[in-house]
Amino acid sequence: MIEIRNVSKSYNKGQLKAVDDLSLQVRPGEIFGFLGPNGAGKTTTIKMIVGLLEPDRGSIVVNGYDIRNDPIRVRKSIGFVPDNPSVYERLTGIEYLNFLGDIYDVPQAVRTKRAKELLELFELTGAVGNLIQSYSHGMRQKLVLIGALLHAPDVFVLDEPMVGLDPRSTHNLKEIMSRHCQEGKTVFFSTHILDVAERLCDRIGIIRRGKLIACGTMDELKTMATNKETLENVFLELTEQ
Amino acid sequence: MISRPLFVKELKEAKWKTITGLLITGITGASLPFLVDYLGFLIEQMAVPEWARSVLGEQLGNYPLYLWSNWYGKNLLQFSLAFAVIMAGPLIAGERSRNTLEFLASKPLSRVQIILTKAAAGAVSLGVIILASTVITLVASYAAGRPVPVVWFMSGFFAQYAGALVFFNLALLLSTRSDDGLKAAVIAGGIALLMFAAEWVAPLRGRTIIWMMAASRSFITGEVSFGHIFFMLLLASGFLWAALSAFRQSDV
Repeated sequence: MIEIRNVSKSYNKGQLKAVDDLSLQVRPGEIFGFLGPNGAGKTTTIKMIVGLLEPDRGSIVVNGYDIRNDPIRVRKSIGFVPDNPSVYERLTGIEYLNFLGDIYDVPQAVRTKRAKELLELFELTGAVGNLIQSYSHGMRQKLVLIGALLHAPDVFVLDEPMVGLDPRSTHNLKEIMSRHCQEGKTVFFSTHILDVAERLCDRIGIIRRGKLIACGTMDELKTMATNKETLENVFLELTEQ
Repeated sequence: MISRPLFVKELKEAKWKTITGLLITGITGASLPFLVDYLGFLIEQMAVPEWARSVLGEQLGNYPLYLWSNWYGKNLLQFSLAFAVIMAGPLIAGERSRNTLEFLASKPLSRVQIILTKAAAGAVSLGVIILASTVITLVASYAAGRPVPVVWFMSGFFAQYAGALVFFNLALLLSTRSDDGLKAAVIAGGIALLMFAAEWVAPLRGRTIIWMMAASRSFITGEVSFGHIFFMLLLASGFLWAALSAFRQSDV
C-alpha cells in the first residue's frame, strides 16, 4: 500500500514547485496509473515514493513504513523501475542480477528459479552472460524489470516502463502487473500510453503542474469530462483546463 | 556498515584499474634494482655538471638510499597519488554521470553504507597496488643480487599508503560534489601537485604530506613513523567524514 499525504516538493530554492500538496492512496491489489503532461511532477512523485528525493512537506508511507523514518524498509518492499534503464555496464547480466539478489537477501535457490522464469519470459536467457554494455536499450529495460521483480516486492513502482520495450515484452509486462495485483500486491506506474492505462488500471490519477487534478476509476474520471469516449479525450480535456 | 554485495561489485568494477595499476607500478619497481648499474654508466658517459655528477654518484653508490629514494620518494609516490585520485574521482561522480546513482540509492542501502563501502573497496584496491608492487620491488632487489633488510624496506609502506588514502578521500569528497569523475580526480591531483611544489619552498620543506609519505625517518631508523601515519590517517578520516556529510545532504 502507498499513502501520500499533503506532499510538496520544490526545486531551485522554492522557485519551481514540482509537486504541490499531493495526497493519494494506492491500496493493495490495485494497479494505479499516474498520468500527466511532461514536467507535471510524475517522476518527482515517484522519486519521493522510493526515497530518492525528500519531500519538503507531507509524508509518504509504503507498506506501513514512513519513508522519512524507515527508508531502508520502504526500499526493501519496493521494486523500482526508473524511466532511464541505466545499469552497470561493466557487469554481465547475471552478475547484475546476482548483485540485486544479494542486496535484497534473496536465497540462492529462489533467485535462480525466479531469474530463470523471468529471463525466459523476456527472452533474455541467451544474453545474460554478456556484458551489459553490449545490450540494446530494450534489453537493458528488460534486465532492469527482471531485477526489480527478483525479490518479489510487495509494491511495484514503474516510471514509464513500456518505453523501449518490444510488443511481446510490453504484453508480458502487462501480464506481470496484472498477476502482481491479483496476488494482493500494489502496482504504481506512470505512462504516456493512455490505451494501456485505460485497459490495465483499476484507478488513475492525473497530475498537472504538481497538483492532482483528477483521481478515480475510469468511470469516475469520465464523469469529470464532457467528451467521455476515451481516456485520451478525458485526459486532454482535464489537462487543458 | 559495509554492504558485502556492493563491496564485491565495486571490486569487480575496479578490477581492470587495479590490474593496470599493479602492472605499471610492479614493472617500474621490478626494474629499479636492475637499472642502478646502467644509470651509473649513463652518468659517466653524459656531460653532466660536476655538482650533479657528485649528487647522483653518491645516491648510486649507496644502494639502500637509491632504492628508497627512487621507490618511496619518487616512483611509488607518484603512482600511488595518481591511482588514488583516478580510483576515487569517479566513485560517486561517475555513478551520477552514468545515471546509476539513482539506481543505487533506490536500493535498501543507506547513504552512509554506500559511501563507506565504496571507500573501503577503493582503499583495498589501492592498498593491493601499493603493497604488491612494493613486495615485487623487494623480490626484484634480491633477484638482482642486491638484498636489503625486509622489515626495513617494508616499514616505508605504511606511510605511503596512509598518504595515498589522504588524497583518495579528498578525491572522494570532490566526487560527491560533482557529476564529472575526471574533474574530481584532476582537482585532487592538482592539490597533490601543489604539495609537491611546496617541498621546494624552504619554510614548508619537510612539513608536507608528500614528505611524510616518503618516510625518510623510516629510511634512517627502520621504524614506522607512527606520528606521521596517525596525522595522515586523521586527515584522511576528516575528508571521509566530509564526503559522508556532503553525500547525505545531496539529492541524487
